[in-house]
Order: sequence, then C-alpha cells, then structure tokens
Amino acid sequence: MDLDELRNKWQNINLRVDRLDNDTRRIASELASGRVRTAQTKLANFHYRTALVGLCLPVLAPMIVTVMHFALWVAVIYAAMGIILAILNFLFARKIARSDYMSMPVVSALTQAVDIRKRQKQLQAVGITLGIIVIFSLFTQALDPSSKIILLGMLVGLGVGIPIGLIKYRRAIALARQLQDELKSSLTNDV
Amino acid sequence: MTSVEKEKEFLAITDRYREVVAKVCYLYSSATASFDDLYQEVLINLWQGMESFRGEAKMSTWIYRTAINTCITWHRRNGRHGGSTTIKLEDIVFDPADTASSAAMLEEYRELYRLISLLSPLDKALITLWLDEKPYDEIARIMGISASNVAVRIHRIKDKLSRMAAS
Repeated sequence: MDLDELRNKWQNINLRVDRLDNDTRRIASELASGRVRTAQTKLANFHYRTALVGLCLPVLAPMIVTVMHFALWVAVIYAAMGIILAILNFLFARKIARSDYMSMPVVSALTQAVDIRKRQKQLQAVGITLGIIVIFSLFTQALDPSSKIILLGMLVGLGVGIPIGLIKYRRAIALARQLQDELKSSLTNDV
Repeated sequence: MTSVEKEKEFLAITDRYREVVAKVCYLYSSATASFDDLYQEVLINLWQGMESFRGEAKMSTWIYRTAINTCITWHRRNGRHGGSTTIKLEDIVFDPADTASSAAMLEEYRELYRLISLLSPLDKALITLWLDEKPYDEIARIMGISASNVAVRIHRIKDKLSRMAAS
C-alpha cells in the first residue's frame, strides 16, 4: 500500500453526500426551532435533575423519624446524603454546561473531555458509597436482630454488588487513563 | 442574527463542508458510534458554535476541530437497546464500478479505512488531516500541538500503517 499515492488520489474520492442533504435540512430545521440539544447539554440537564432529586431527600428525612420510627441519626445521614449529592451534581452540571470545548484544538478538547469523564465516574462512586451507607443504616433499624437470614441476604447483596460496581468503575477509569496517556505522549513528543 | 438567517448560513456552511464532515464521521464510526449519530451530533455542535466562531481561525480549521472533537468525545448513552447502523464505504463513495481500476481503488480505500479504524483517536485525526493534504502548520493549529510534533507523529503513523498493511 503506497500511502503517498493514495493521498494524492484521496481528494478524488466522490462522496455520495446527496444522501445526507435531507438529513442536514431536517436537522437544521429542528435546530432552528430549538428542539435539539447536544449530548453535552443533555448530560448537564441530567445532572441538574439529579441535583433536584437530591434536594428532596432532606425534605423527606423527617418522615424516617415520624412515620417509620427510626433513630434520628438515620434521618440525619439520609438528609446529608441528599445535600451532598445535590451540591456535587449541581457543580458538575454547571461545569459541563460551561465547557465549550468543541471548537478548541483537539488535544485541549480531549483533555477537558477526559477530565469530565473522570469526574463523572468519581461522582458515581461517591453516590454509590453514600447510598450503601444509607441502605445499611436503614437495614440496621428495620431488621429484627434475631432474623439472621435477612442479614445474610443483605450481606450477600452487598458482596455481589460492590465488586460489580468496582469493576465497572475501574473499566471506565481505565479508558479515561488510556486517553490521558495518549494526550501526554502528544504533548511531550516535541522534537 | 435571526433564526432564519442562522439556518440559511448554517446550510451554506454544511453544504460547503459536508464532505469533510462525512469523511471524519465515517472514519470514527463503529458499532458503538453510528455514522448517523456522529453526523447529527457534529451538525448540532456546528450550530451551537456558529455564534461564538468569530473568525479567529480559518473556517476549515473550525469545521475540522468541531467534527473531530465531536467524534473523539462521543460515547453512546442510549445503552445496548439502540441499534447502531454501521455504514459501508460503498454507501458514501461514488463507485464507478464499470472499470476494474476503480473497483481496485475502492478496495484499497476500504483497506485503508480498516487500518485507520485500528488507530488511536488522535492518530486517526492526524492521518485524516494528512490525507486531506492539510499543511503541517494547519494540522498543528487544528490539533493544538507543534508542527514538528505533527511531522514526527505522521511519520510514525505512516510506518505503522505500512507495517499493518504488510502483515
């Protein structure tokens, strides 16, 4: 394969772009009417909504004491989780919404994208950890201490769920790390 | 700028650079990133970026950056149930298959696309720009690295592609 010869003929490829004309016009019409959002905007909106959900937890927390008759400390942990997740999700959503990296140089854009991906996975890890703490707290209040089977079931669930969550988290971080390593080699390869 | 004016300008830009966008989207399309998804997302990002593009860079630089950045940073968020349609080279390349040489050339390009698809995202971007005969300084501006870095990396990518083709 002679790459230089292929390069000379690369410009002569005739693309069937007419099949794209209808799509382009349809998308342009939808964009003009404001009906389309970028994937980045959708991601930011998802985290804004998650922040709102988090703010509901402190509102519901008193019911843990008044209705379910659990200890006060469980309600405090429940409320704290909601507030922490609301703050983290709001800050992350704002960071995404303010990132305008599409027209940046490619390496800079990829750096930002990798950073956002890592922060997203860290946020998920924080959410899962807080969730486990809250679930554990609720279980300790709900369970009859003599009911060992239910306790065993809970522990098995944690034992299966935590490794799966860790594996998925590590895979996502590995991808972000791979992209980051490639970025580093791009930036340090100056001759 | 009114919505109608913006739409008109957008269509003029996409009409002029649709081949560039199509080539980039095809190179980055895969089982998890369909051509149509990437193409649509590039158009959306071009639309969003139109008002902030003030002409500091060349129009082609901006188009390439947006298309490549969209494709590199894309990851499918719809889960496994959304079927991806992979597009074939014949779907986007006009193939005057009545001549043996054209068929052979199409086969060579298919092989080239296959080898390029095995490259890392950044190397894919570099070789695409090189194949489009962009000068090294413009590639450097699009990528955000030095021109000497561009030259070294393209040389290595070409060697790698040649070795992959030989094996």
